[in-house]
Amino acid sequence: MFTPTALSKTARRIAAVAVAAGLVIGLAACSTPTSAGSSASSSSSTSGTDKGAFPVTIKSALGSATITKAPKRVVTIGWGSTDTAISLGVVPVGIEKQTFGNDSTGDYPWDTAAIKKMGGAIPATFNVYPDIDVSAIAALNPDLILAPQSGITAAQYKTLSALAPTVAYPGQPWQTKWDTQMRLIGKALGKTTLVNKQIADLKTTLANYSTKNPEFKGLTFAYVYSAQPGSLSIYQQGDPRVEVIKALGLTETPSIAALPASKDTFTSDIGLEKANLLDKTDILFTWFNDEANEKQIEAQPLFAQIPAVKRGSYVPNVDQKLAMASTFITPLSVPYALPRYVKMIKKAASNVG
Amino acid sequence: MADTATAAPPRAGLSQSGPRRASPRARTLLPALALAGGVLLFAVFLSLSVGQQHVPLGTVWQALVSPGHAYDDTVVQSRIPRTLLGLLCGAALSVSGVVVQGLTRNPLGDPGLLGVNVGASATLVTGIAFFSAGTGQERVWLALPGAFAATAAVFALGSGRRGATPVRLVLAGAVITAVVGAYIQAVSLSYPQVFDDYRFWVVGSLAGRDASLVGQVLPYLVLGFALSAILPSSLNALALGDDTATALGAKVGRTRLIGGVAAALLCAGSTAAVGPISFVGLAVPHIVRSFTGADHRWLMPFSALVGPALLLLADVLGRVIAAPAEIEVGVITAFLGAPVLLLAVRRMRGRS
Repeated sequence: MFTPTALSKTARRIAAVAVAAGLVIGLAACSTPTSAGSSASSSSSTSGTDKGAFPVTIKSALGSATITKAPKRVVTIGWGSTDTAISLGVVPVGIEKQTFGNDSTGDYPWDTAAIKKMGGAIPATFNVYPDIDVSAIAALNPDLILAPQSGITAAQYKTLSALAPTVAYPGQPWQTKWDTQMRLIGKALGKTTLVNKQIADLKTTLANYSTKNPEFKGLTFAYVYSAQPGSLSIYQQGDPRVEVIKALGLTETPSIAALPASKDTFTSDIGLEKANLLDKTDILFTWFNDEANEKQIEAQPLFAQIPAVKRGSYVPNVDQKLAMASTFITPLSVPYALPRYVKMIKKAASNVG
Repeated sequence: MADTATAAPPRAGLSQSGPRRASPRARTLLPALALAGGVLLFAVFLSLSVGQQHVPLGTVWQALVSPGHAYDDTVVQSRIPRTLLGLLCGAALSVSGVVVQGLTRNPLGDPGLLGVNVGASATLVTGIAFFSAGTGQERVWLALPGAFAATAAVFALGSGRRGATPVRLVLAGAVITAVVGAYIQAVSLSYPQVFDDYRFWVVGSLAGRDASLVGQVLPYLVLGFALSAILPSSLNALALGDDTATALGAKVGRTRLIGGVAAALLCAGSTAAVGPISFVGLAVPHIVRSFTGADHRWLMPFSALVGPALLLLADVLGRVIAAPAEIEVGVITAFLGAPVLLLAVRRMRGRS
């Protein structure tokens, strides 16, 4: 017989963290691993490298990484690093295998498209769940590991640092702001000038969306996680999902923003029975695993009665790729996500009574 | 006027059964049965009232009899499915516990002994792993055939030339559980996404269940309750041993067959709906036996009332102690059940 209690409690906690991080596990459509792109072709580009950029030392919460010369074999872990490296002209040799919103290469479609455009080799993928596949990373012979927006542990950092200089998060796991992350990666790749320009461009792009849609200004929003029946969690400021929407000009519903976040997360778990906390929210954002999941959740009376859901000022994202892309702010994800995302928000906004 | 003292409700404890058997016992146990019903009713209201959002009992009553459009009404309505499932599954698990303990003459028996839980789990992980089934609706249909197949296998394996004997049944149950359990481990550990789904299911929870589940499993449970209802006298006879029972005119083989089918229907229906909930089937008959004695004619109806009351109260406790998060009812019953099990073992040692 099974003794489910202890095991599943730990497992649940792990899952809770993973969900909070938006890493949806358990949906892995086992894609065939891409044959490791021919290791002969060094995939880095030297254009845009600052003079005297190396050696450089980058501090993180878990230790310091010293990079002596322009990295050629970059490995990325976590969110957004792949995007940023590629947009700086460096195609990683290996990336964390994505299991939510991924395409057949195990990466995000906007990354794959950009790599094909550059003529680079599709990166090899490695698993990070339930643990980082260190031997797969070692086989890639990396000279830089980028994980500035990730949840790697101190022990994992030590192991990875033995393989190559490793850049972890500067503060808390999964809590690195998008521009901080881009600056860290720019510095590690010796392309500070270029990355600063990209950050400025992104800010302009987001501001343009905001000015082009002045109706967003007065609207309040909440971004919730409710894909598990009976659950209701609210993503709080600091979470990239929330930051993207704020950048477009909307404001978090004040009563929602005032809720304390659960320990070590940027979400407030409140439970579906407290759905009336969302009564004063103009636009409600959420994501679902798929349409069956959406139907199942929307059938719950407590969910269905949420005013924003009732009047259709509601952005339920069932397109996993769009859900992921709207969770990043990177030079690659923004052009992929925002045109469609903004259209969805405009439609929801038109239903705000 | 001489009868006033005995007609009054029992005040302190329950009297021992005297030499005259039926009437004094009925006089004390009938009010106790009403009391158990009252406790169950209270548990139902508590289940509708307590949670992340507290709804006062008066409002619960109003939401049930004349729902307006207040938010509290929606909260109460959203708790109706889990309360109904708690009622049905609590009764099903404890009644099947009574039947299994009676059939196997094993006081430590619980419905899992017949392989129901591992059977349900086995078809469930198979479905998730190889046929990518997994939503709530599909799970019922995945869990039921496995539960029945495993029970049938236990009975087939446990039947010798003279039919199933208690010892053989228990041994067969242990064998099936070990073999099928190994398969479940192998599949769930080889496929991480199966493990992820499976571990949520295997804990057993009333939360977030769809109201339609009640309708789906109701036919199995009703049939199971109906079959159980005809068993108490036969189980009483069986308790005397196969030979004496046969000598008294009881049909031992037929009792075992009906009992096996009833227990499988009840436990499989409950497991399919809410996952395997541990200890209810084991503990409730023990709790009840401590004040009714071994007579199945009392044991069965009391268990049908005490089981759901216990399950609902455990569910309410799970909503309160980790608020705003919830602890699955399966975890709570395991915590509550363990001391009862220890007590039961100690009592058995005392007797032998």
